Amino acid sequence: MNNPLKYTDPDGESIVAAIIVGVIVGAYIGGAAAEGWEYNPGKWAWDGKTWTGIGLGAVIGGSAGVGFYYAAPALANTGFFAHFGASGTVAAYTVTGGVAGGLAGYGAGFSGGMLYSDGNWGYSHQSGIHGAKVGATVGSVIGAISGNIAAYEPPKAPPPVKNPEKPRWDGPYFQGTEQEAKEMLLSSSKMFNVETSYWSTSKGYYFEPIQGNAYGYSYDPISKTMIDYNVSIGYQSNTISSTYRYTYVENLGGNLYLSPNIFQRSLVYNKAHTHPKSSPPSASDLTFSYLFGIPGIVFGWNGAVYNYGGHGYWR
Amino acid sequence: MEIKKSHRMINGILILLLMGSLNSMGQNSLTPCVDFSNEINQIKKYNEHLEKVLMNNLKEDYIIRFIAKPTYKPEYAFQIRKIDNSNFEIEAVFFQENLWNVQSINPSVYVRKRNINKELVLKIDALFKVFTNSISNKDALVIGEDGTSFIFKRKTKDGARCGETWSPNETSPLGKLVCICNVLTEYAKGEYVELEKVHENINKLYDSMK
Repeated sequence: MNNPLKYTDPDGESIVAAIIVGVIVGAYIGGAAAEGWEYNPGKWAWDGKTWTGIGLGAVIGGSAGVGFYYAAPALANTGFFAHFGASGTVAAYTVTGGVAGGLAGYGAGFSGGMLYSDGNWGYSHQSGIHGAKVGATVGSVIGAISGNIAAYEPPKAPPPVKNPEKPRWDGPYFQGTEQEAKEMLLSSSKMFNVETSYWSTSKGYYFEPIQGNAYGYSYDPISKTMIDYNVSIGYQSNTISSTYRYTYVENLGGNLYLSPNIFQRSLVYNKAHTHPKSSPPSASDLTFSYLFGIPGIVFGWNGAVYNYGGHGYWR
Repeated sequence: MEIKKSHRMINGILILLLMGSLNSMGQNSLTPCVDFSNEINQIKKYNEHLEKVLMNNLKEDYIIRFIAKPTYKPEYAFQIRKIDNSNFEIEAVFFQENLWNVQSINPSVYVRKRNINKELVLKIDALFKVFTNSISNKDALVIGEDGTSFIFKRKTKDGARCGETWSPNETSPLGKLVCICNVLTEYAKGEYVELEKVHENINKLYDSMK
């Protein structure tokens, strides 16, 4: 609230506007005073005295505009007015406008009076007082308008509606992005100092454990076709240079499905695992990808990524 | 109360025994060596390259040959061959870097040779025979990804029998066979090896497999 920067005028438009308004009002008061307080310019003589009154009033009014430009925000920023927020700003601008207008009005009225009365000081003083009243009235109105403009703050945009966050896990399946899954895989690999793996599936990313009852697989050595996807090989643990599979898979209609349990079967898209030494896929990686019919990804600890397998990869 | 405690203890022992036996499942016998060269181009290139290096550094008249192909560490191999009726030689090849990963045209290797006792040769050959004869021709078992593949070859009248296994548990029969082969590799390198202990381990494993 008590912020001087709030009233800054970086492009200088406001000071020009203040001078123009001051010049117009001062010129009018000076002109009217030089014509014996005839308010209707159509009835003015428009002789040398008129123009001199207008000129002197314009100079005095312009000066008052400059004064108003600097004084109004300074007053608005003082503790008392600032305490009342926007209303305080309007009040400070109105007071400043009134005072600046009054002073300028006196000056313009006095000088116009001197012209009209051919140097009668008494008349000129009375003319100045009248000009001060007119100037203060007009200055207050203009000050009030300026105060409202200065205090105006555009309505704040309503806070964005926060959509409820998508659950990160659906049972054993991670629902995040591929990048997040990759980071989690690498992070767990480094934390446990072993190779780790995940399956990318229709239900999300399934992270293999790093130990448990594992499955190997058997195939016909002549035709190189799968015989059994799930040959139990007992309790095993991943190491820094080897990965086991601990989750049951099945081939249905030529597609590979992951079955952590009968209710959570998912279609497999690919299988990724880490290589702590960041080396390319090994012969056993390629063989696995070939026989299971799914693409594979190797994530090296150093950030290297190797994609292999899948349609059109094998010769 | 006491009865319940003893029941729990027996259950625990049974579970441990079951876990132990499960641990070795699929790692009791070698699976046939299957060549995916026709299907996977990288494997074809690698096999050709490896075979070329072995051919350049090892003689073809071997009795048994053992090849280790780790995922990250350098490959190594040894073989035993007959010099004459009473003298035998074990020769080993050690790669300086992993051939699969580096794919260097002229990989840096070093070869070590050493004489080996005939009695030990006969025992190793008998052990290889037991394992290679039990290879199933109906199916090939794959355990996991990466790890280390071990290949065992034994010359017969009909050619050579070849079997392989993948990172076997040390306590499994194949794990023990790999362990014996690794000790023999060290022996070929010129390291000190307790040969009596090797004899003993071969006897034990042979007896358990018969």
